[in-house]
Amino acid sequence: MPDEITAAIAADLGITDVPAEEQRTIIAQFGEVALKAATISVMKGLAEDKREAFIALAEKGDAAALKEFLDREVPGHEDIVKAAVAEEVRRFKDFQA
Amino acid sequence: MAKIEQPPRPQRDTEEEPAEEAHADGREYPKKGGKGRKAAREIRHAIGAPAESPIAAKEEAPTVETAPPETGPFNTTAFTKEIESAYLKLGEQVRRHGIDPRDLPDRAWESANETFEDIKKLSEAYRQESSPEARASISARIQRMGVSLDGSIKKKIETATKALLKERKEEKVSPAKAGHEEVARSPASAAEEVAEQDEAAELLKKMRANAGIKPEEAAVEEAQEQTHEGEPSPAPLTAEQFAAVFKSNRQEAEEPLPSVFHSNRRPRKEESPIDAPIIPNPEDALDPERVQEILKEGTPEEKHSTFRAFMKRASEKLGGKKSAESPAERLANRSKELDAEAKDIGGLEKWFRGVGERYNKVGWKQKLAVGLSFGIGAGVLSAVSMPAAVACLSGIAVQRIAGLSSAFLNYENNAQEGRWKKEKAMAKAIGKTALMTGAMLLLVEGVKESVEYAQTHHVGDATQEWLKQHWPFGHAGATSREAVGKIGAPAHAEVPQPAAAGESAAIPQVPEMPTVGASSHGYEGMLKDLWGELHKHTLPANVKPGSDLAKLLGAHDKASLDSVVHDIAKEHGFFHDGESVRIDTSAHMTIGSDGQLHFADALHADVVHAAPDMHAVAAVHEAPIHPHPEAVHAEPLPPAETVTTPEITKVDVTAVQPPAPVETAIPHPVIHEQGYLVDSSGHPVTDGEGAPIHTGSYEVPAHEAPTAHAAVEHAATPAPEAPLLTKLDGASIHPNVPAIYQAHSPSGETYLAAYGGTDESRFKFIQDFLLRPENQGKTIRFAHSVPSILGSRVVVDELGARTAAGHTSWIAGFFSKPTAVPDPRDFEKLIK
Repeated sequence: MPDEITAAIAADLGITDVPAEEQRTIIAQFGEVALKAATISVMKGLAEDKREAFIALAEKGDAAALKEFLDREVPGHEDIVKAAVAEEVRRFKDFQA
Repeated sequence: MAKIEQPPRPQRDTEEEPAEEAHADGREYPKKGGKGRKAAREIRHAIGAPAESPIAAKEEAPTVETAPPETGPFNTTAFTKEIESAYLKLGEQVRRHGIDPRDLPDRAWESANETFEDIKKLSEAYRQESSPEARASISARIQRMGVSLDGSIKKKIETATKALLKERKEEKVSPAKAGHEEVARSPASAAEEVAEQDEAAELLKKMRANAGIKPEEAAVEEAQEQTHEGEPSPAPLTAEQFAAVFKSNRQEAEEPLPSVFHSNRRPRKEESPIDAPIIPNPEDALDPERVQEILKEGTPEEKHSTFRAFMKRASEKLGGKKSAESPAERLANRSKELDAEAKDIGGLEKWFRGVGERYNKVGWKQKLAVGLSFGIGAGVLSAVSMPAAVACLSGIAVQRIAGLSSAFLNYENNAQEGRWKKEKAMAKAIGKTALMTGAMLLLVEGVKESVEYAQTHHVGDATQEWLKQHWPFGHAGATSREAVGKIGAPAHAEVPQPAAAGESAAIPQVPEMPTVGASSHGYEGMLKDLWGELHKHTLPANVKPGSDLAKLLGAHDKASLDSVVHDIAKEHGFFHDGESVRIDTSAHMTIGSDGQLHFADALHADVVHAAPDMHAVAAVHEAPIHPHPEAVHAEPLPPAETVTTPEITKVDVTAVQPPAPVETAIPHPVIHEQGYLVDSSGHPVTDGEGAPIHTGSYEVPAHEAPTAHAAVEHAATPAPEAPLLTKLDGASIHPNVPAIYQAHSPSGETYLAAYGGTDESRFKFIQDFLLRPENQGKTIRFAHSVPSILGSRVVVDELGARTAAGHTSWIAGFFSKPTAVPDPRDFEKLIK
């Protein structure tokens, strides 16, 4: 159920004590932040002349092709994304603390 | 003019002291009472210092107690020592202005004395405390007090010093009028004082420059400091930092000062913390080495900016004024920050903005899915997949995700068994979906850990259920493609299929249930097909008594099976008032987690009981079906040549048929029942051989029914398809034999299409074809069936291959929009 997923994400973000509706708002916003942060972190590791290709693949929504592209052009991109998202989570939790 | 760091001077003691006390300079001063002085004396007593003023103490004897060395994150002895040193230097600063510290009003020193005393007490408490939490709390309090001593208290003394200077200047107060016998300063001493002030001003100027503060900023800063006189300023945090703030005396002036000296500097309003670079970790604020490391790097402007951010965050960390931002505002601002950051990455800004806009438009479930793909909610960082998250924002992802189901189940099953043999599961998944699940597997990667996390942390079956329903947006409750789509072809690329147990939360406990497609023998024929499939699957340990599943499993021979399926058909309204419901060729059936039968077709997403409109189109009457074949009264079939319709020549291109090429037609079973499909004109619908498509149970004449088991097997075995002719050139196409054809789309596009055989045999055929040297670079379009919890779906995909240096790269092209299943009648010629 979405409620269960919401609760799990809320726990990770440390917002379990806020009203459910606000949790949804925060989770939705955080997803955008995580997506942007992850994207920027990867793009920074991508050669400038490859960015158009990345955008084209991303627009197409072909996850397999996108992954193949990143595997080739940005080695370790998963770790990069991982770190970027972790940083955003940490930032937000620090803010909440 | 830049603000001058004014030398302070501490208070005088009064109580229990002689009316006139001898000062170090040999002069006597009248005593003054007050709480501050008493506190200061107690402090000095506590630290073992002589009972004179701080100035005297400093001049005559060291006042710092000697304490055993401390170890640990916070050294109270060192900190107290620094505080005392700063305290004494404050007195010196006052004295440099020609003012005896004791001349300042008591209230000017009161806070300093009390704070110093509290620091001493807390330091002692810190030393005696063993609990790390308590020590951390005490440490934080001590440091906050140090901050106050550095900030507001120091300012208070400076303000009092200025006020007294101004008072003396205006009133031209003589030493005698000032209340003590101070000798008027000589011109030489006055000149020296001016020189000291200039030197202090120059020192301050250097320090500001060191921190990257421009002169014009300094002027603004000075004005603001005047405006905010007495308010607390951002705080330095550690003993070392705090001490550094006070290392502004003349002896240390020549040494480079750490940037933290400017902790007194009040950030201007326009210097929003959001605009400043953020220190990686606020905990760094408690690590002096880390602070120095951070502030050591970068240009002066960067250091300046970093320092502001540091102060802001560190102040919050230590209980300072908390940000007034709400979480939503915080995230909104962070999003803007990232937008701004994207501007610095060439060629990204426009697309980046589009990503945000697209994200905002997607539904809540997809937003949750994006979060999950980043591992949020599944144990932070356990699963991170940006491609999955990006793809999730694209419509194609939803389409592709539908095909993810079987692979997802494989992973899920592995998770339930407590193992994640990735390669094996991946290979298995790929084998099942025959190369077409690359993107879906990737998406699975993004959530598989989520599933595992949910299980490990007992998030609940509901989570898994939701994942199954909404991450892949439908998943496989069945993998029995052999039984799917034995007749007819769906008119569209994707056909709604029955929900296996989509509404149930108990699916995880139920092994895979088979799904069967429409049967030429109607609803009861589908039930028999299902019965046959059930015996090929692992069945649940606990079948709900009285459920449809229990009833089906209770049939052990043909006779009992006939009876059971008929009863079920009646119970669910598929046989009513002597009529059998018309079964659409898109129909599918499976069993839910509760053992209930679920039926669906193109017009009915998921029904248990026959919908009223099903009866409405059932124009053919059917005689009641007797459970025993000998009791059946057969009626003659209408002549096949009179009922053939064009529709029946549509052959399900995704139908799974016997892999072996069938060159000779297998006799179609003789049907001895009344119910059969009719078209809109009321004519019976026939299959490729002209036999009508029956909707009810059928019986085989006794002499043609060798055994009950054989009959059931026969019912569950798909009938072979007859060859069909293309419209353009009349070429014969055999549905059971995989081949590559040149095809025409309605728009006139020409492409290569694979058709015939089972999905597996067709995929293998495609691969063989593409690997041939003469076919390098070609792509093949084909339809195939993908199981999901909503039943099997037919999707159209494209596959190509290139081989270079012995290495073959497979190119899986996915259509951004649902593409119509290639119609073999539009094929032009056989390529192979």
